[in-house]
Amino acid sequence: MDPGFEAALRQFVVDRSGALFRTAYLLTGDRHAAEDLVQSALAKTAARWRALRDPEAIEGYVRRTMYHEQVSRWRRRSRVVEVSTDERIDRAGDGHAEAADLRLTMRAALSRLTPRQRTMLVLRYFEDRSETEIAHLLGVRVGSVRSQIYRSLERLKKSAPELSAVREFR
Amino acid sequence: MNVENLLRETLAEMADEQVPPPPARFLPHRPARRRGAVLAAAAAVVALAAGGTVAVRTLSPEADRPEAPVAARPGPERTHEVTVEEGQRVARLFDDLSRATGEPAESFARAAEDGRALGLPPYAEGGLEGFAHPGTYRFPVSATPTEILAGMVARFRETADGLGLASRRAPRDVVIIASLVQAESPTQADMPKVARVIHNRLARGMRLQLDSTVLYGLGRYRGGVTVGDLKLRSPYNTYRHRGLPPGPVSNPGEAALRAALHPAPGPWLHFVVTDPERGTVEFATTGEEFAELAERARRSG
Repeated sequence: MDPGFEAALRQFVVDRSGALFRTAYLLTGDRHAAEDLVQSALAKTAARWRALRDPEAIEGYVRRTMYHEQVSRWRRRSRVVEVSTDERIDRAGDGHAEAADLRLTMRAALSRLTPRQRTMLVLRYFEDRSETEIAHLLGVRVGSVRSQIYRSLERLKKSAPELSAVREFR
Repeated sequence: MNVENLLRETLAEMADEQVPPPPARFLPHRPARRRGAVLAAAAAVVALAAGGTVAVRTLSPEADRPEAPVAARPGPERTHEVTVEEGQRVARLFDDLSRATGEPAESFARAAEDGRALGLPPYAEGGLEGFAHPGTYRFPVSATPTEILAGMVARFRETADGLGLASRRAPRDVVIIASLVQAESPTQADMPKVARVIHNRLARGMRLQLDSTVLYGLGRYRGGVTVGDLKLRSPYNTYRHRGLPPGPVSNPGEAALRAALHPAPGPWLHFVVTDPERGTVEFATTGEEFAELAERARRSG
């Protein structure tokens, strides 16, 4: 193998695998699945390395591969995500207990969405991408992103009725 | 809070909790290969946290377990020690380094111009300000200015990785906000709320109106800002210009970076240091509340 390529790949993995893993974890909700996802996206990217060249394009390709794999993965297996409830409630202090509770409910509700819905939410609310970008990344229409996100948020609200009781700031 | 904000917080919290596996996990097994000379030397610049010894992770592939902490060791060679205070600016850092090493401050300023050699992340846009991570550093007397500064940048990158900074859409903005939070907060406990004020003002298109940015533009460190100062024509003058200043105004510590990433939830748009002696800062949402706090600060100050 070309030593320049190998060094570049190594550097990319050292620099970026942490961030890629965190996104993969949000997409899958499972550490092992997240590792698999990063690993497989990296392998696919390595095969196209020469054509991609610049680091930004490489990262874009890895991420796009992760999103696509995750979205198509659900047909093959469904995943149950466990939320370690007790531990997290204990950790939250007095005034923060309510907010921590809500975030827990949120986690559980997230795990009940389809991978496609969940992927869109991660892109929108963690990576802070626009609906247009998401449509482009996943190869779907903007209208479809908008309606899916809307429906997912409705589902989250429904599965966490406490949410409607939360005060709105401003 | 609405469902969208709650979702943002939940996702950020989930991402934060996960410590990524070591990079080696994702690499095919190959014979070890030496890294570039500067990076290897940077890894040899041992960082100690202020107040205590902290392990430094080397990224060297020679190590069997790259994630295993390597205990700080002074090594057989004679060493210098320099502390980067939280919120320190690079101008002052160069003076400190000059005192510690006997090298002129200019050689550090010159070394800082080559962002690539320092290993700065792309979003630093070649500038060291904001990316020389606070902490106490010990380095061999033979270390070059580039190696010393690269060690500080390496520590920044480690902290940033731990916080998941690079996966954010605008990591540079996070560092700029953290530098403001660091410069404006009397104590660490205030940082998440100060960060919230900055976020809320930006979200509403309000000018930030932070004295620390004006002082930075003037090259001053302390003291009040006069009405004349506020007329300063500088992109760092956030009384004149909307949005963030063009770059960090200090080198923020981990707490400030964390606060910039996860501001406390709240509606505040103002803060006032009401008791400079005790470092008491109070927060306000409306203009009237703010005027009241400002009046109280004037009386006590």
